[in-house]
Amino acid sequence: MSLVITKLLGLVTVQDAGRIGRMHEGLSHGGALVPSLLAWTNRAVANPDDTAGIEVLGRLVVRATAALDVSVGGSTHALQIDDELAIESEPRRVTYLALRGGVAAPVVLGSCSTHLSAGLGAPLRAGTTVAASSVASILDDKPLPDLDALDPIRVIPGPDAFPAMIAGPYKIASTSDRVGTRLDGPRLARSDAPERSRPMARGAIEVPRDGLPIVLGPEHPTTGGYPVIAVIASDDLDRFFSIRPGGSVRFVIA
Amino acid sequence: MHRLGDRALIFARPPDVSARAIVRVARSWDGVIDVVVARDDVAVYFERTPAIDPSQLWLLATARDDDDQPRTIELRATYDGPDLDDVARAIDASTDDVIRIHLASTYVVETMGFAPGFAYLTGLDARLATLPRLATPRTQVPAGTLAIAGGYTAVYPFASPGGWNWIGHVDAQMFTSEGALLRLGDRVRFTR
Repeated sequence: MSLVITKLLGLVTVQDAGRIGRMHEGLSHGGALVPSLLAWTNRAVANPDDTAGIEVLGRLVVRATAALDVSVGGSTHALQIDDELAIESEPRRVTYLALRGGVAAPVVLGSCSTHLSAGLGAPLRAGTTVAASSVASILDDKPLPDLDALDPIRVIPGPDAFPAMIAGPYKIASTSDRVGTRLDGPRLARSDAPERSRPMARGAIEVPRDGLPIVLGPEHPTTGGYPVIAVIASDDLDRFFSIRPGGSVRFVIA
Repeated sequence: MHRLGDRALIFARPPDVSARAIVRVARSWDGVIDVVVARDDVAVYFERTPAIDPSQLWLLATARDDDDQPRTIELRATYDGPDLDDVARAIDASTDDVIRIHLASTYVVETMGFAPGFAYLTGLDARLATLPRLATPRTQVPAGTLAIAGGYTAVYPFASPGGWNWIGHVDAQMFTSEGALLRLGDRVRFTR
């Protein structure tokens, strides 16, 4: 049971929960940009939440080379042989394609996730065949966040000085990637204190010299030198990373 | 101690405790999934809401390495970097001197970060330890770049922007599907 990618625009990779426990050797967790949307997509084809799926930042067309059940962002499709399916991340930044039984991909350091910053895996290309795996059907039932809520994104201030004007609004820049999400909007003043390399985290809002904040994503460096003015609350990370490029975001202190 | 979001805490690195010992002890704490040790700071990452009590920090400050002998890793280096001449001029020596000095030391993996498998090596000879970063970083240096700056020497595991003095290259793969080649606490010698 498999399908072939016939058209592709943007970044399309295999992702699961990523690799936990190797940050001390410089490897950030990686994994799905929006794990709860991957989970929702997996549940629609009776896969466990963290089963490897295909992350689409852009657009994708696939053709079934055999009958198989797939899910796109939670809506299911029973594909027959030669059926084509168009997938796009809009109106969100990202969507997922799950195959019943999961996507077959090599497990490296405990995960199937492509981690481009670590040279693990590679982006999928037009012409690539994606085969279904055979993970057991187990439905997780932990609550998932509402990705479409319009409330401001909650942040925990610090460890560096927190400027009141971070409230925004900011726009998600189109130059954003899985390492960092760049924000367009008010430039933040920052001190000229010498930069020193310190531990970083997913969701950390750092301020480079040009004053336009960057939010660290799943493939972030484990250490970095820019001041960190706040970190996005873990419950709001998925909602933040769902906002499409050009979409706007406001922040509020948690 | 500060919060680094709602799943991690960051605090000053205890003096005179090796990064290897910090990682070993902090990873044994309840709920901890990851630890990052930088030069001056330690971050501990939790599965849920972080909690560290003062007695844990006190134990961390007195942690010692386990009895495992550190590994010694030899890395074959070619000293052909474009900054070799500038480095020699800066310390008023010949390029052969720079190479000899760099080869003579045994280095220690003191911290890891910046990129997967990037090891900050301490133990640089005093003459080379004073070299600052480049005034203008290069937009890209290739994987395997051997460089020195700010008292450290390092090998870049991947092509990336590079602000250090580029003195040569190493062919060994610093990060692979097996993980990082170097580990915290490893001894490293460069050979030709």
